[in-house]
Amino acid sequence: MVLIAVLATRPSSEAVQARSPLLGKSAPDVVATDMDGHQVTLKSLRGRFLLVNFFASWCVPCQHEHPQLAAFNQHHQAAGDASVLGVVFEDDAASVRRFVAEQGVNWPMVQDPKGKIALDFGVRGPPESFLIDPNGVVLVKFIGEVKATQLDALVRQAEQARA
Amino acid sequence: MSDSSRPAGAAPEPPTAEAATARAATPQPTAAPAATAPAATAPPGARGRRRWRVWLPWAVLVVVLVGALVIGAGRGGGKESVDHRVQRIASEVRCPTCRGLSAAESDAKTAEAVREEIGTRVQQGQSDGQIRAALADRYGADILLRPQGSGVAALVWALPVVAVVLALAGLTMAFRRWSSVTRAKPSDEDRVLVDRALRR
Repeated sequence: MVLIAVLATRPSSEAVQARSPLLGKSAPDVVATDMDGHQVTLKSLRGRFLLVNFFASWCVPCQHEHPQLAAFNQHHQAAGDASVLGVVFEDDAASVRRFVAEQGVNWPMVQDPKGKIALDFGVRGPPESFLIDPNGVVLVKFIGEVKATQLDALVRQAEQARA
Repeated sequence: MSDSSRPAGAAPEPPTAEAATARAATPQPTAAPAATAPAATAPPGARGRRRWRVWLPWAVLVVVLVGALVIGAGRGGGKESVDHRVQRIASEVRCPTCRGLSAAESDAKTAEAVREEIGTRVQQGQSDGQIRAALADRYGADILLRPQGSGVAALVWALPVVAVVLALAGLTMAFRRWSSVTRAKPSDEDRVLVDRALRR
């Protein structure tokens, strides 16, 4: 009973900000193709905050995280101050397309068939996310499920620091 | 000739070399003269042979060790192939998505990516250290299975050496103390006793 009570009252899992040698440095350049075959580069997405999210359709925390990413993307899409870039981590294109069709994904999602992007970012397993500022500098690394409120607060904080 | 075989009243014979040797060979009340007597009487050639018999196994051991080291060093000095070098470096890097496996051992896609990255950097002419540093710049130093030789991680290498040096120093001090206790010199009284026993 005590265990059930503890588990029931626990706060929901939230991404932890992790240490990374990339913090404070320019993000590795990404040149990849999205699910429709269009080329996407990280440089082309500069000028606003960007959340690079490593994801897989087989990853349950990634499925839980998806609505939060959708909320964050929707909230900032109108303002044009932040966006999301998904990177497929060790997953096949068919499963990802099915996930996109079922869940609805409004942000570009690039493939990483050889794991080069994950290697450049030092990713160990999904979900992992990196918040990058408009100049392309890595601000935060998250391990686990991010929350829209958590991301909003960090973006606000970074904007105030820049002002 | 022994004293018991001599007729009664006969004058004592002067001691011969055989008698001296026989006397030395019989057990004596004090150990020191008995031990030194044969060495003192042995011819120089026999003493040299005995010394060789002691040192020969050590000399053979040294020759074998040096030979093995020379052969081993000679084999390692050859030019290493690219594949072998990639495997060697990958074996010192942790597979990012596995537990307890190196990037050389794992079939995971991230391990393949690490091997490919190492291969690309080897082709570019980067040193082992540069390649390891590049991977540590992405994942952090814990991606390396062998600790680095600088900073706090250097303690991993330094502490065992310090421990061995301290242990050797302790052993040396202990041996010195023990040998000083056992190396008691014979007193004048001991020498008189030994001389008396030898004259009998």
